[in-house]
Amino acid sequence: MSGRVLLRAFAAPGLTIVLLPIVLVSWLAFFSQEIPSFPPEGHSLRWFSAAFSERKFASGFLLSAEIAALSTAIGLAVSIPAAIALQRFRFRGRGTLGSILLFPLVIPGVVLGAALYIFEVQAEKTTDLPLIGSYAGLVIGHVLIVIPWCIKLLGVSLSGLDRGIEEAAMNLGAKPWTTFRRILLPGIRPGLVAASLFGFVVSFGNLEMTLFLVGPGQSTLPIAIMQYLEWKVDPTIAAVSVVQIVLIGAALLLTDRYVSLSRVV
Amino acid sequence: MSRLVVSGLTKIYGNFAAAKDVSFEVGEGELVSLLGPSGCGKTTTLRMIAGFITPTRGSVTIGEDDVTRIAPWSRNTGMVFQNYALFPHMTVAQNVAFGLEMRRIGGAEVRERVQSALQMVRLDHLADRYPRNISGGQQQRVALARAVAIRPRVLLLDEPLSNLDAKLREQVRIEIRTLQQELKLTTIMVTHDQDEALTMSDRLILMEGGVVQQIGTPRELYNRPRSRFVADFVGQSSFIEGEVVAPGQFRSIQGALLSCPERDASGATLNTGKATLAIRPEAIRLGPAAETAPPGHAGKVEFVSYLGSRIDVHVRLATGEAVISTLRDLAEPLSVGDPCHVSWADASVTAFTA
Ligand SMILES: Nc1ncnc2c1ncn2[C@@H]1O[C@H](COP(=O)(O)OP(=O)(O)OP(=O)(O)O)[C@@H](O)[C@H]1O
Ligand SMILES: [Mg+2]
Repeated sequence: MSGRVLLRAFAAPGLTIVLLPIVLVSWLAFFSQEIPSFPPEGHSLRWFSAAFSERKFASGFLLSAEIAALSTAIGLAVSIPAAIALQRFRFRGRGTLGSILLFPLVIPGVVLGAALYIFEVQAEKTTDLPLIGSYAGLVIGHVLIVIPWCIKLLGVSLSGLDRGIEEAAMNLGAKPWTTFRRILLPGIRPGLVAASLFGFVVSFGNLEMTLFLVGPGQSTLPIAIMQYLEWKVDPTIAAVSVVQIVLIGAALLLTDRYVSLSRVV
Repeated sequence: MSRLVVSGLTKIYGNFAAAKDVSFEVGEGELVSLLGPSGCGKTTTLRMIAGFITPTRGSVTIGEDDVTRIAPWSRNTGMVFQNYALFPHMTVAQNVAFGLEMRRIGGAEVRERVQSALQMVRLDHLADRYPRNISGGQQQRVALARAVAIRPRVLLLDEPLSNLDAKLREQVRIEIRTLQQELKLTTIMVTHDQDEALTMSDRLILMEGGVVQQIGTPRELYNRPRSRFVADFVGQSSFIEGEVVAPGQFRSIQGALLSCPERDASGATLNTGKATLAIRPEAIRLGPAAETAPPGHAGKVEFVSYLGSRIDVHVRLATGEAVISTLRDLAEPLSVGDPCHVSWADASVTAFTA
């Protein structure tokens, strides 16, 4: 009992420190004056309309969404068989494979981005393929950061699945592919939904790695925000952030409904 | 329905034999139980028949077909799993329909057969429920309906009753047996519960350490166990260890002189040397201490367990041997410490050399 009280006593200030900037930024988005100052002169929604009419933000949003969708789809296609293999089979190099797939999680985004960039430079030199700053290169990078989350979320789902039901299906006449499609996939549906949402969020919000991979003219939403900030500091950015926070928050809440995130993170 | 023949079935993991040279037959419409203590290879054997484990040696024949190398999905066996393994994302009706869909049976016939399979287990009113919304006993019956609906050539039951509570178990036992007999299903049931095996089966296969110890009807196994293991595992027995000193004469370790059969359980002549006698509890008679006929032994009650329909009395003979007697009722109340007269018919004694 007292342990619980203690936990709360420590958690409360921690949570406050984490949430306070979010609350302040969200509040800032509704200030009516251009130069952020305190207390606000009044409240308005003008920065939201400014944000939505700014072409860079709209196109950045679309590009981010597109890349997030594409890399999540590819990431899932890779992660489903990988997660099954890691979960089900004992083979040589299983531990190593698992670590490699989860590795992007522990490497700082800047390091990952720089490494990929150097790789692209070297690869382009030897193969003459246009890799640097290419769309494909960008997607590949994002697939890399999506995979660990997919593997983790699918792993949780798979470990909760009774292997007996696949045998039952085969006993009833289902071949392996049918068993996969009709029994296994529906069985890990919560994991699939969670992995899709989470993968999307991770890719959508990525800035550090993306900075190294984008080509001229390609700016994702986080990059568009950063570029805007270099020239102007007004509550438009806060409004954009609020929109992003709401979207990501919704996705995370939805994910948590399918696979409890505390079991993964 | 078809006959099942298992011959020389062996499964070796590394240098450990989970099943060794297992051979038996199950006739059309017969229910045979695989019985034995934990780890004796029952599940391994059943799963080799279903096709989930590839045998190291030996063959499985269903009807005229050698299915040893056939994939599980082509074997046409209906299996009921220990934990039922119902598909959680499908309704009861969809679960039962699954096997029929795999057989490319048309919609109208599927509906009809699902309906009749569910009626058979009296669950047609729950057709649209999901497995998590029905009780354990109902799940068990859905699993049975699902396995039976495909009209399997052999029905395989892996500890079908082990997840049910005692009361329900009795009832489901009767239900499964009745259904099996009505549909004349060739059936193998795995169990480690001897009561279950004795009450439900036409014949029993008793296994130990991956090896078949004895095959026979419940009556044969109970009355003519071929080894001490069988006498011990099927029903209760009092064992008296000692040696045969002359044909028909036995001296226990504690020194009591008893008469014994001239042949051992396998029918071979009992030579002098180490042996064990086994006596079933219902063959042991208890009488007042003053009694002298029939000739017997003086004993003392050590423990009385009251089981409702019967009473098990543990008695220590004056010479030191422990025996158990099962009584229907106590003519006069016996309590711990009471002296008594213990007797049994010579014919009820079985001798084992091992
Ligand atoms: N994949 C495996 N690798 C190694 N040994 C195994 C394997 N599967 C089973 N065994 C061993 O084979 C033996 C028989 O196992 P099996 O599951 O057939 O026993 P069982 O009779 O069904 O027991 P229970 O009543 O406990 O279910 C056991 O000792 C088990 O440890
Ligand atoms: Mg078993």
